[in-house]
Amino acid sequence: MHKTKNHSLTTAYKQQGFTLFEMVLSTGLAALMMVAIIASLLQFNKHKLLAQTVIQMQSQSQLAVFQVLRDLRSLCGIGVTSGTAKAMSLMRQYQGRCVQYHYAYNAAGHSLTRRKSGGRNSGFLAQVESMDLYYGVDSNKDCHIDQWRRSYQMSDLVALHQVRVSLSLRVPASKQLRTGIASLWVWHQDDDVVLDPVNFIWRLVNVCT
Amino acid sequence: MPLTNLPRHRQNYLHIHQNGLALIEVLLSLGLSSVMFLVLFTAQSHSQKVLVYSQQLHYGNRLLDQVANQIWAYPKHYQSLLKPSSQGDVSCLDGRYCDPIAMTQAWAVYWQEEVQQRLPRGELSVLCDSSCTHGGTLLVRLRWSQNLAVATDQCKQGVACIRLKITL
Repeated sequence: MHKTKNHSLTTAYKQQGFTLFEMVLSTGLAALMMVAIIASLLQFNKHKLLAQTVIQMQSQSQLAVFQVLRDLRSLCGIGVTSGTAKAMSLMRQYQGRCVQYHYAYNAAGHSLTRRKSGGRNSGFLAQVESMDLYYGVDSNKDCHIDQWRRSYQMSDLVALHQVRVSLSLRVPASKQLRTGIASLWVWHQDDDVVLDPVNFIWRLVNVCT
Repeated sequence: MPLTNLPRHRQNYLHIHQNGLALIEVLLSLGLSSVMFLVLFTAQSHSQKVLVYSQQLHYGNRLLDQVANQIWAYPKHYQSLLKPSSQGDVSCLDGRYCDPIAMTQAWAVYWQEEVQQRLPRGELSVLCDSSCTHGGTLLVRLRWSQNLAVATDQCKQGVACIRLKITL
């Protein structure tokens, strides 16, 4: 192929590659873009984890309250017979019969257990870090709670009106959330779980109504 | 068509336009990418604030549920809930014998402390529409500072409110 002298020079000039300035500039821009992309991906991932944890926290607490109250609703006979801060015994309906049930906190299994009289313990509520029960009793028969106590024993002297339930639920969460916005949460000392306090009151409807 | 078949001025033109990107083009694309990332960050940051707001609402609803239960437990002592006294003794809720007035005051103090700990500038109020007697209406209102909250007829912009109306 015949080429003129001028054309050959032009072609040789265009093939000489990048200048140092172009290299530095393009490397700098590429680095900037990479930093932005990586930061964006990390932020996106963190946001996803945060959303998952918050949703799980809310649904778990609603489910826990619903499950406990639903179970306690079918009270029968003499109702709550005794209780401590970590356990409670009561009479409730089971297949048309009034049967005694025992509810207790199982620290080893991080759960609440339920046991029918004569039966075996079964898991009732999972992912529970702690449970505290307070019993609101009326000791002068004026239909008002005058004492919140940590234990209760059924007797003619006191009437149980309410049970205050304080649960601390374990919500699994990623370590990545330990910093930033989620540092407001209470983290478990050893495990990667967030502790969600759930307080609610179980009102015995058949008292003073 | 091969370049050599083109006239000289056309060949030069094509060579000139195969140089690559001009600095202004690179800067422009970088600027646009930055805007894109900025929008993305802003959206995610806003979304995180929404999550925090939703958690606050969730907590507020649970608290109002407890308040409602306690109101029913002391039907003749709503007035004690209306003006939470700083003299309320929280030990009434932990083993001590207390009369109904002291008990309602203890609850009022307990809730105020809870709200202040969990919600920014949180404030719980209990109001009666006309009289706190049978047939009246009791209004339990929870307010706290929240930038995302929009203005309503009850609350101004930046203040989140949830209310519970109870017919006595």
